[in-house]
Amino acid sequence: MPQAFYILFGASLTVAVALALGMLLLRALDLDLRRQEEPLVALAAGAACLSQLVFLAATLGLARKGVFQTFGLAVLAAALARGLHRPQGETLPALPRFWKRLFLVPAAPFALLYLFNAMAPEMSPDGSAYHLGLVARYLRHHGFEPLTTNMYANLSQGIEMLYLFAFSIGRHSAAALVHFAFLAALPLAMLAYGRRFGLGPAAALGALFVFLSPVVGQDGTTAYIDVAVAYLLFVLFYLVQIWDRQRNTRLVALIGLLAGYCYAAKYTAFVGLVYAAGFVAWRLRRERQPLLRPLLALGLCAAVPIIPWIARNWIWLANPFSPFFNRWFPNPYIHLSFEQEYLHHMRNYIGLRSHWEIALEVTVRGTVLCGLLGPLFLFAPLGLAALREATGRRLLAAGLLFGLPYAGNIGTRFLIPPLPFLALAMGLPLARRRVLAAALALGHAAASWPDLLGLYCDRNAWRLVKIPVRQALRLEPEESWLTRKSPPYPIARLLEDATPPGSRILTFNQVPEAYTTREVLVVYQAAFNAVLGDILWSAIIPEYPPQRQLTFRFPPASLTALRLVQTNRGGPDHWSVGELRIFQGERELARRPLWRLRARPNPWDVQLAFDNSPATRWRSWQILYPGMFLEVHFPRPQRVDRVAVECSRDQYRIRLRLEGRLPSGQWRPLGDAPEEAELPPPLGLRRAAVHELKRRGVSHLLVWDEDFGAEDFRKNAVVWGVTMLGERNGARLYRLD
Amino acid sequence: MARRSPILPALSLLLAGCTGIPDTYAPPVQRRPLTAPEPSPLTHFIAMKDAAAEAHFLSGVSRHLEGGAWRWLEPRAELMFRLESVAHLRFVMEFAIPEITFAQRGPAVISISVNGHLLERVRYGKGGEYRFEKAVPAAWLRTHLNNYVTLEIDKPWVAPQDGARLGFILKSAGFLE
Repeated sequence: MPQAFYILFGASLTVAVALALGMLLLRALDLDLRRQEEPLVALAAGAACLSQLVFLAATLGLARKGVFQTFGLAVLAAALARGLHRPQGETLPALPRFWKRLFLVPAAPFALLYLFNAMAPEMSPDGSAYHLGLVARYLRHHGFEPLTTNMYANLSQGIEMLYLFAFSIGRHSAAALVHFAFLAALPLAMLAYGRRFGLGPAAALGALFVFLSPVVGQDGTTAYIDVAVAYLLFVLFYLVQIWDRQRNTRLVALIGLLAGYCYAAKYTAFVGLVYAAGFVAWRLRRERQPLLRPLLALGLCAAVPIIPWIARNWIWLANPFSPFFNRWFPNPYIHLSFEQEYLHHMRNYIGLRSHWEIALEVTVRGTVLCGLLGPLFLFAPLGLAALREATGRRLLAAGLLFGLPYAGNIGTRFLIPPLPFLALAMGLPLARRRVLAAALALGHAAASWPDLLGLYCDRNAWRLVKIPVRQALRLEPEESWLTRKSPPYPIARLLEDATPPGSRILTFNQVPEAYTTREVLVVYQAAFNAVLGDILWSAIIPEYPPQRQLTFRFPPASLTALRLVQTNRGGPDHWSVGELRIFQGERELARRPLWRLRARPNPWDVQLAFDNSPATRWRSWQILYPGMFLEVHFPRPQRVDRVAVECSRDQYRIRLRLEGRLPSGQWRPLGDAPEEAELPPPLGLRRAAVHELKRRGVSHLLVWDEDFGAEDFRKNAVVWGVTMLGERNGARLYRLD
Repeated sequence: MARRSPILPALSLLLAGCTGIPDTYAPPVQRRPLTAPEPSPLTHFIAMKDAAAEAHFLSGVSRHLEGGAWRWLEPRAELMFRLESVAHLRFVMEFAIPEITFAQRGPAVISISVNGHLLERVRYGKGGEYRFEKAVPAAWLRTHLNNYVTLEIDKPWVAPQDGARLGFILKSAGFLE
């Protein structure tokens, strides 16, 4: 029970501090908000403020439980002293009884379902892997530290900053409960909006449609962030609509802050800023009012939550928008090829045979796209009827804009941000037909309840399955529940139990990093890790070792530099060079410390083509384009008559040209038709690969049975020079000897 | 050709210009000694088409490369290899027995010996392409000295055109991990 107490305390304190900060801000701005609106807006605005302050604490190395608790209690004391807990403002028009009951009766059991699930041990894939994995890491280090081996750490983490506050007190479930707070607040905000703008019944229906949607419930009860983002976007929209009525300049500042926080919460929510700025500009321009000052105020306030994340990435990762836009901001931390493959994968989930299946996947099935909205949303076209009303058009326009990022990631949860707008639009025509509305609402409730949901959705659909009361209250220990229900959890515990502190573990799949203190490098999550994977695979993929030798012979020449240029274009080949050797007669020139090596693209790995290791290679990590090069500069003219390029056989399309720079500074071609020979497969590659991994600080390998090469590790552990330390649920942990 | 907006490149230059990541490097620590002129052209594994293949033939291997990839062996052939290490090695051989030879001599048994130790004796009942591989005890092998592999077939095939006594066709052979 004490654990349950800390969970509730951690989450409650976080939400209360956010509310208090928000109230302080709202009262300072002296906005004309209604009694029921104020706490809802305060939650969003306060979350933005608290997130900023936690960011600051993490930057200063002050991310500690004591600091957060002390600060939180001080804020609460200040808020109480100012009487901020006393509601003020006019009351919103009441919701008619029928609609009130129609909302409350189905919503109440779902609220309980969600509360207990949020409080139960956290085991969501992304929540336990990186949302909280990073939070746990920040707490261990009392703040940020440069982290270049996990692309998820490069994303903006405005919601995770709230999780960090809660996690420091109540750990994983406290963070999930903070998300639950946004889940609970979202329908209330929709209701308040409806009541303010005379759409109460439609809002009751829309709020119910959203709140009961299975993917919203599943997402909002874990340490994901999508429901929180949806909440922020909805409150932003709500405030913009209020501004449209009031034209209060101070409101523009708050709108800017929230729009910026949307970006800080999730990159894809930058559409919030586009919406806010676009709407304000559109309305003012239409009325021929000055644009500059309001937009400047909005932009400056938006910059406050945005700039810290941009600056952090700029300083640490050389790319303010990492892990994206790497073509514009080339850097050693994320390969362009990875970005392209990742974006492609997000647009084409494995298992989806055609985009025509999306409608059924996101409403009824729920496995391939990870979650379902519920079959009610097969009737989403009903929302088009709202186009007849100005309010409906505004809702649909906002929903359309907030739904644009879905084109970049077709997972169901990426539909959560536009869902409130779609649901409200659906509610508008339905609100005039009580019986139909009630039938749809109750039908949606029945179809979304876990027991009935299981009858029609896919067996593996991402969804809630029960009310875990015993687990939420920790009457069943967390360890026991997670071991029984979460297959990856024991793997994380294996890392913790079988490796010493400070171990660095290379693996090919996501691990629940929130449950281990060891450093986990997932091959696809950063350039550094990808090179490690390439090294490992060079020992077991026949096309990877340097078995192709291309030799350029030319009359002896005195040169100050050599440049090997790739001249062909097209994929899927990447260009790679295992070793570039330079000869004078029969003698290979020793690589001198004063030589200077350059490459384009990927200059940062150029040394891999000059390290004499058969296990490593410089690789373009981009498909072929003319002009890629490797360059060697000599400190003084060097007599050269032969260059041998040892490379892998997985690059059939490359065409190479060798150029030399004369002492006069002039470049001249030395050949473009190298002699080709096959080299024997190098011996000792597995050992060499392990040696290279160890040089890079990797101490262990975690290999799933279905991973490529898993059998080779098992059969040839001695040859690799690794020792198996344990196995859990199909994952084997090896120590590099 | 579509024109790109200059704004993003300009912004990227501005931002990237402020980072301290170098783009030229000195050669790194060398993992192994440089490759020098080989005192011996022998390696641990050869394909028959390799330029250095003939250096590995002690006896019984045709000097003529057929089809750009394979060579006939006499009933008894001997090859030699050099190894840098001897642990965890397998002898690997890709070869073929032409179907036509079976009509004359019937099933054939091929014996493979390494440094005088019989590694395996395998019976082949029909023509086709084969791959043989078997782990070799480290104690049989030696580093920096020649390692001898003998390939022997029990019944030679006599070519009807010229009466040459032949064994089977070899594509590649040597030691791999």
